[in-house]
Amino acid sequence: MSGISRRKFLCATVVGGAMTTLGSVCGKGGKAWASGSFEGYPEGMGVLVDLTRCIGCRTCEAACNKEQKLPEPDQPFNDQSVFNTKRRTDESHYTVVNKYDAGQGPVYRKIQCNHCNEPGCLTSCFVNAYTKTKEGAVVYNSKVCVGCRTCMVACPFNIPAFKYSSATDPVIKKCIFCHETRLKNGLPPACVEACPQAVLTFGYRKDLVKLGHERIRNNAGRYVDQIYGETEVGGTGWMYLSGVPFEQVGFDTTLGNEPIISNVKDFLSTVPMVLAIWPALFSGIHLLATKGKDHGSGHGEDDHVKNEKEEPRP
Amino acid sequence: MHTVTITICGILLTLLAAFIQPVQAETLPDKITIESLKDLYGPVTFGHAQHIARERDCAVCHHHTNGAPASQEKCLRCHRGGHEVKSMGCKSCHEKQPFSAEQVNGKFKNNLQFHQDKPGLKASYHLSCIGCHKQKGAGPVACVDCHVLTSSGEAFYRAGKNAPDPNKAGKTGHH
Amino acid sequence: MKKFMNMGLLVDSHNKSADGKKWTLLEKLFLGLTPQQYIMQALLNPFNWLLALIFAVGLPILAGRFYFGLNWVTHSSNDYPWGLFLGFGLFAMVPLSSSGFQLGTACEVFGRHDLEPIERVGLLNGLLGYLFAVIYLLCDLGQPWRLPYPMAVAFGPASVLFLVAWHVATYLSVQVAEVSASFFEWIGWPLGKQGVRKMTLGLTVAGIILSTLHQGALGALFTYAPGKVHPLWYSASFQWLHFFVSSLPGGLCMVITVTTIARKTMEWRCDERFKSTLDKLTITLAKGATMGLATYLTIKLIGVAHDNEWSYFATGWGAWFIFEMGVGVILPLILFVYAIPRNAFAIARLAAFFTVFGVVLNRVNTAMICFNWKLPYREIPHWREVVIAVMIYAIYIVVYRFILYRLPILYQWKEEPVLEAVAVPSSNGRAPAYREALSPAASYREAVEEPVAISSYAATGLGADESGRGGL
Repeated sequence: MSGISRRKFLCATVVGGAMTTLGSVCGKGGKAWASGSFEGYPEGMGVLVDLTRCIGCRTCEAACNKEQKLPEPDQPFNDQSVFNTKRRTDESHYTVVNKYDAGQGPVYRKIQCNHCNEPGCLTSCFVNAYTKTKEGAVVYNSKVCVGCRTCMVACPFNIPAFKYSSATDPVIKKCIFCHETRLKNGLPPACVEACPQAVLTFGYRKDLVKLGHERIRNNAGRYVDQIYGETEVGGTGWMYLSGVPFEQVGFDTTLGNEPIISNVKDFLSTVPMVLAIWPALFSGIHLLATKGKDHGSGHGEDDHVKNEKEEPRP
Repeated sequence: MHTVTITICGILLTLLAAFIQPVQAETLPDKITIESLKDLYGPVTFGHAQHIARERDCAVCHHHTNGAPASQEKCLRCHRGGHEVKSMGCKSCHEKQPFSAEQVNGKFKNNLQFHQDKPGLKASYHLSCIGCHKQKGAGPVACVDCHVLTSSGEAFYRAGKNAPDPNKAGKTGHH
Repeated sequence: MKKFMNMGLLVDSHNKSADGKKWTLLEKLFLGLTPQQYIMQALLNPFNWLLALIFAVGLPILAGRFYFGLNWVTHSSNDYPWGLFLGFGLFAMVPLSSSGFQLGTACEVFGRHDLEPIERVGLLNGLLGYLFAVIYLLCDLGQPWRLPYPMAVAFGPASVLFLVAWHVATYLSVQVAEVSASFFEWIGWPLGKQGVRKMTLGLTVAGIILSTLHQGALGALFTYAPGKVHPLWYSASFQWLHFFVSSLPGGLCMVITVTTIARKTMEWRCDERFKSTLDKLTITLAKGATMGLATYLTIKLIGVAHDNEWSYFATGWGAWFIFEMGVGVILPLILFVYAIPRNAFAIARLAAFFTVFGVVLNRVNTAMICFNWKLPYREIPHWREVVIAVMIYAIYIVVYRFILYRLPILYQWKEEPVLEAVAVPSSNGRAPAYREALSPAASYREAVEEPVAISSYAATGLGADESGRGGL
């Protein structure tokens, strides 16, 4: 079942539940929720990032800045002094490279949107601004973004940034896999094309998983035997190979393999139940509690008086 | 009889090889000027002869393509005897556009088990040069050791005369 | 304000005097005072000067927030996307507003009419809490003018926030309808009140549904961030229950707190029914809050046990968690348990204050202090953000006070039809109209004072008054 139709199912369930219609709708919804996680579009693209190759030249940052027409940076892109602090993505940097000292020499790690198979940002957005395209990019529609920043809370990788600097049009800003200008037209993203070291390998996600495992197998001892992102939070379009344990270079290795939405399903599935059961339950309690006394409106006065009388006065 | 034939053939082949190789060496460039990134950088001159003199083993860079056994163990599974190719230049195998639709779509499509992870041309240069230089602890490793930015390169990296005004720094970035 | 009592100018019915002369709307707005008198009393109140100071500083900064953007008032942190406006304003205001549905349910669904003297405070507290939570939200949203988008333009129905948006919007309307009964009385439009009256049960049940869901949904919002909220404040399975259950004592204790303050600062506005029953009702609310707190404590501990988070108790985070639970849950629980059987009203009120504090602390902890616990730095809000948050709270207090002063929330409105029907002259020094008219409310007051009157209360044929509930 594709993500789209599953989300439509969720939609139907919640809306159906909101109208407190039939249990059958809720039943269907329940099945939809229980139907397992969305594995991504088969033709989805991805990038395999090989941290053992990165030399921290920051050319990817420069290419991203140019391609996405981002504002002028504070320092030149060939300035290595930025590595003195750990940076994150923000409204004018959709990708940044950070330097880690992990035993044998520095390790550089590029971060950008990982383009999850089942993105937390997408599932948390209440105006459905995000879309996972069939090419695998997670893009957003800034025309409907309300600026609530829930996606920033929901992103396990802390990627979406907010255009705080704008008073009139503050919206979310993040890497969109160069979807509009390149990916859609069969081109790799700008950073991949610019990378001199083939740190970034672009291709079908399913091919990259194979490729990653082959690279690990063919270079005994060079890599940790794991592709970060193959299964993390339901799998990501961008995946990482590393020569040092992932947690030593800033990766959160505690995220688990369930997509973010799985955490929320428990609650979402109670919604139609509450909507369906509460009215009858509480109306019933009302009838029981006030039997022969107060029927809600019109002639409750006697009951009032009775109550007042019965009231032991302090 | 057989032994004689084989011996003669062997001698002939050895002579032929001895004869051919100096000829090939004469056509080998001593210096190679690489201009594939000329819109960002000035041309880079690669001392081919210098590297031959130092390495003495073409396979370090050229894998199995000159007919000699490959240097990496994983390649030896197929290329124990070397497989000579017509043109040994990097660009004859390593694509300028490694992520073109054609390349990406062709991945894992044929039954070749290997060569699926072949870097593009630019990456081959850099991975070979920097990888080896780092390993040997000698030779240029930093960008500027080889590359001189052109004016469009400066614009791309916002460096040199295109450097951001330090007074304006801090206006865009947030933690 | 005490002057009102002396002046005898208490607006609590349509009629200014026994001869049927009515209050004008303007007079009602000025509480029966002349504008000069009104301004005078306002200036004499030092609290108003404090408010004026807050507004003088806060309003320009609020204007700046919309002119220069969020960049100017917050640290514009991408790691801590939600600051004080949501961490305090939204997440803390909403649980403290659960009083609306709880008292509504108790009175209208469970038939607990003894709670009626404070039912309207509960409803108003709910309405204003939600309203100002939304106002805080509007300050925080990047594009507040797009707030209606999830209702009309773009739908993300699988999102928890979508539920919150719809439920808060619907519930706000439900609460406006519930509170409008007292507004219709005050403005003198019985038809409107009748209309609302007919819908009461429906509105109340709608209130329970919507409250259950979005109080929980606010908690469920954090299940989007399993790695970011500290495990002691996070529970994948029970987060929404933690939020829902803690909102119950939170809302009840907010009513105790508000009525305590109202009783102290605007006694002139409270009628006898309110004053005479408040202590006892405080204990009733306290009983409810005790049950809520005990349940909350239990499910919090179950949450810790379920995810086996005991080892975190040994850390600094654990100490902070123990502080929150100790001061915000266990201490009030002990105080309540001590106070309830002994009718120790002051201690019950103190306990209510601690409960409110505990709920606020829990929400601020979850949304801000214990959020991103793995990151090396904690976000301290920008001073301008603090100023705006304080100022919106000041507006909340002003609006709350404005309504309590005027609408029949702390007192019962004396209805006209009865006044006309029974115009028996009587003598009463201060406000003749009150006693004279044997309005149900007046007789109620008498009933409180002298039980004999109860019979007359019943005998006057209260059917004449269409309102079966508090607004007699």
